Amino acid sequence: MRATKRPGLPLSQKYGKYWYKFSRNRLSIVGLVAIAAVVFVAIFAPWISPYPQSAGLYVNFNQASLPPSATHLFGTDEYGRDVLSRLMFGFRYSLELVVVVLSLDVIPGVVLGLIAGYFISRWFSTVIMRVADVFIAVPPLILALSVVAILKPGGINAFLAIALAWWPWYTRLVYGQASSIRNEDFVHAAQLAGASSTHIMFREILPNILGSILTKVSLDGGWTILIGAALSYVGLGAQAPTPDLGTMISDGSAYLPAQWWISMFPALAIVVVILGFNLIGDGVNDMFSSEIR
Amino acid sequence: MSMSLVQVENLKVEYKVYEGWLKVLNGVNISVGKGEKVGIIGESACGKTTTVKSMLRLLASNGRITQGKVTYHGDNVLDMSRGDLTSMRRKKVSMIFQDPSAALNPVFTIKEQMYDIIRVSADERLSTSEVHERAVGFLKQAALPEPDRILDSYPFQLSGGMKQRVNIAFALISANELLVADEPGTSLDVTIEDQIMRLLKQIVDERGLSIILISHALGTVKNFVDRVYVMYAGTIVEEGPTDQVFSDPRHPYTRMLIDSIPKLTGGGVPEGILGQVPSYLTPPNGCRFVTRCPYKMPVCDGAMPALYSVADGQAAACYLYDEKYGAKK
Amino acid sequence: MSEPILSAHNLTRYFQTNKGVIKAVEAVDFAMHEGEVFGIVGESGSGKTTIGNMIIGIYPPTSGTLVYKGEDLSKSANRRSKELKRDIQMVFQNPASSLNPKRTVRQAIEVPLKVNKTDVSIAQRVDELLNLVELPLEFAERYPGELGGGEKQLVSIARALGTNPSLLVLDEPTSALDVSIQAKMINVLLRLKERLGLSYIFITHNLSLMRNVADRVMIMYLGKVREIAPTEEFFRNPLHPYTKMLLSSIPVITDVEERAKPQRIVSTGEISGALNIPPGCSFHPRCPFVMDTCKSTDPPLLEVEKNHWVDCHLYPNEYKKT
Repeated sequence: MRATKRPGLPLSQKYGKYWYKFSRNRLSIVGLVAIAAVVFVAIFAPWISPYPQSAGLYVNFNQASLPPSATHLFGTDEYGRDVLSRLMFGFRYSLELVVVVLSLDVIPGVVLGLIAGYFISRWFSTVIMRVADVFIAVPPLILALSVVAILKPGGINAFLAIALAWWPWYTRLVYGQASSIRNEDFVHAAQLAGASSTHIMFREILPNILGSILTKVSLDGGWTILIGAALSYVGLGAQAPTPDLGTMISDGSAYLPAQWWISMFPALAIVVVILGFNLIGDGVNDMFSSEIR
Repeated sequence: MSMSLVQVENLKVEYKVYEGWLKVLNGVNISVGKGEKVGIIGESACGKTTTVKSMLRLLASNGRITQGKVTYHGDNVLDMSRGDLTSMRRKKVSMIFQDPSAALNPVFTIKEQMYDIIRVSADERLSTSEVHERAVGFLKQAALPEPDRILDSYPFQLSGGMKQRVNIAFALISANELLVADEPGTSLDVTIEDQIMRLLKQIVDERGLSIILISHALGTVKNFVDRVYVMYAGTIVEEGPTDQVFSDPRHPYTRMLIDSIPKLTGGGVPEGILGQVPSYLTPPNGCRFVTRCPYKMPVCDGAMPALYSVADGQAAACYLYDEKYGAKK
Repeated sequence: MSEPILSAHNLTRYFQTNKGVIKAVEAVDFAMHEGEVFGIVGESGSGKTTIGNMIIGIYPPTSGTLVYKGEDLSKSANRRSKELKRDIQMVFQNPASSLNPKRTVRQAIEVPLKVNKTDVSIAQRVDELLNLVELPLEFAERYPGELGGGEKQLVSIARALGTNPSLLVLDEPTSALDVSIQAKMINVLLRLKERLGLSYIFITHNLSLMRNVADRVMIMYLGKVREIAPTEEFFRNPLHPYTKMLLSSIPVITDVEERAKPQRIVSTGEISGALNIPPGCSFHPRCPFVMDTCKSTDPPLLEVEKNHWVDCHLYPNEYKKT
């Protein structure tokens, strides 16, 4: 008798169930659409923005401080730059931030959490968690401030600062779950079978935590943007003339309430982005929950 | 023949899941008289809990009652107004669940939980000392020593048996007519389960309550209830007086079920029932036991058999007992 | 008389908690032979699961010895020899948590196979194992969520057999299963035993099942052995009051069984918490035959009839070997 691998469920059926669970809640779809729109705008900003030159060094005092109109949908700022176009480029910076921070932080954070959770009684587990505790104890803004104070204020350094503050939350999340899953019978069975610790951590435990990790990643999309905007607002993030949502709010705040559009639209954009990521996070959470709903 | 207290007529219930609709209950008929002790036995996922939850309108949000009626004292429970339903739940009917811990809120003391229930089910306003007195009274009825200490405890400080007795005490507060007990002893040790079932029987007999006892352990049910319903895959396959059904089971499933229980007197490991419960997504059109029945006939695939009377008070839903298809033994 | 394959002498296990010491297992002696089904019965807190865990190596004994085929099992699993780890396997009680919900049946069964290479290909070995436990080969690609409880347990057994063990510890393997499925599983287990020459430690609280499965039965209460006897003798002639209490509270459905039960001893009181073990014989607060000596002195485990061991002051005399 030939021993061949028999095909399982067709892929569409396997992943269709995930989509079904995600889409049960209309709001998750709204979030997905919103963020998809943001991503699209960010990628194609140079081509679809009405006044791409507004994103750089550009001055046109004839067009300065115009309220929203047909030609400038979101108005212009004090230098005559189109707010909408700057917003679109601002999204680029925000999304760059999200991608950089999450790609730097998620994997090391998760791996450390797995190790700390599985080897919970060993000394290095304690070391890992105490180091994580130290980073968590410092408020992210303060941490970012100190990093930026050592390096110069600027885009990349803001990324690094946030990345430094972010990893321990993943470690904590994974540690909590891994330390309880390690006591499940199937982990004992794997140990009894002689499986290596690496196998157990990554093949037995991790798949069961994936849902929480992905949910957090989704929510973090919004959080990192918020922190990034906060840093920019105090002048530690992107430097002029790079358009960034936080900087735009800060610059425009001097002109409130008369020229409200300079600050308001970037602020609304931040709200939309965070809301979008939160709604996606909700949907991702649903995707991995095993309720019969 | 005692007056009927609860009547379930032709109940059909479905659950919505990703793959479609699970057609669980397929026309369930149950009646419980005043002061009567009735049992529902069957294996897991056969619909016993779904039946009683439908009766009390506690069905999960993805469940739907597609047909049927549940009458309590003649009133249709499924159509009742919120107010009437709440009043029924507060004063007349109560339920004891399988997991003693799940029914108790872990962050409140027993006292806090109990006082709430007493206050809500009382007709008049009670002072704190009156509530306390009643609480102690109920705990004593549930054979709990040191009621004051229990009242001050959190659920995690109590053992499984004690928690279940607390649940019984809670149920006594509002169950003046009907008690529903869903596998009350299953998660307890054998000797403790023995104690709890004796206590329950004593309480029910003393107060003249009706009880619906659900269990998958036939032995537990045998010494307790007067009449029993055997359920399989969402249908009642046999019903009748307990001793009769157990000593002379007529439905093939009941027979095979009883045969698959290992006997205390030895005799080797029984065979069990080959095959599996059919999927609720695509249940058979006819008798749901047809996939595993050794006496299967062509007519069994067609339509659900009705309950045929096989002996005094005993009935089995099987075509074997339909004169047209031969009355086989 | 053949050498026992597994023997325990004075086996003890304590757990330190912040509320005090839990004496889970206290001075347990027993021996089992090759090819035997050795049953351990008891309620919660009896220590039966702890013994199973020590045999498997989840934790080592606090004191005493546990000898398997001449080797001392007192090290926990990570430090045992590879052959020893391979030779003793376990089937757990809860089918739901015994299998990783995110891994297919095939992936679950492969885990021991990847570590213990044989000449046969892994895929072939998976098929062999599925055949051994009488499961259809298509199940290999399914996830645990798509299987019934009995099927999940069979997969757990297939996985356990992957290392070619000689001893299987079965901790309440059927307690979470329906009666009709339970029978199938037990039959598969018994057939496997014959076919592969296995020995079983069968832990359960279900005495009716024990009656039909075990060759010898050991009953435990609060960490101590109360009675050991061959099955037939255990049920026909129970001696320890706790055994009688347990047997008399089993719900049965036929009159024949009802008559076979010992006279009713109504169980009273709670099972003492493991932290407050009563002094003397720890069963004395619930014992209907309690005497003064029971409250202060712990009775020894004596062979009071041939192959029938009891620890109870009611039976102070060892039987005379002629």
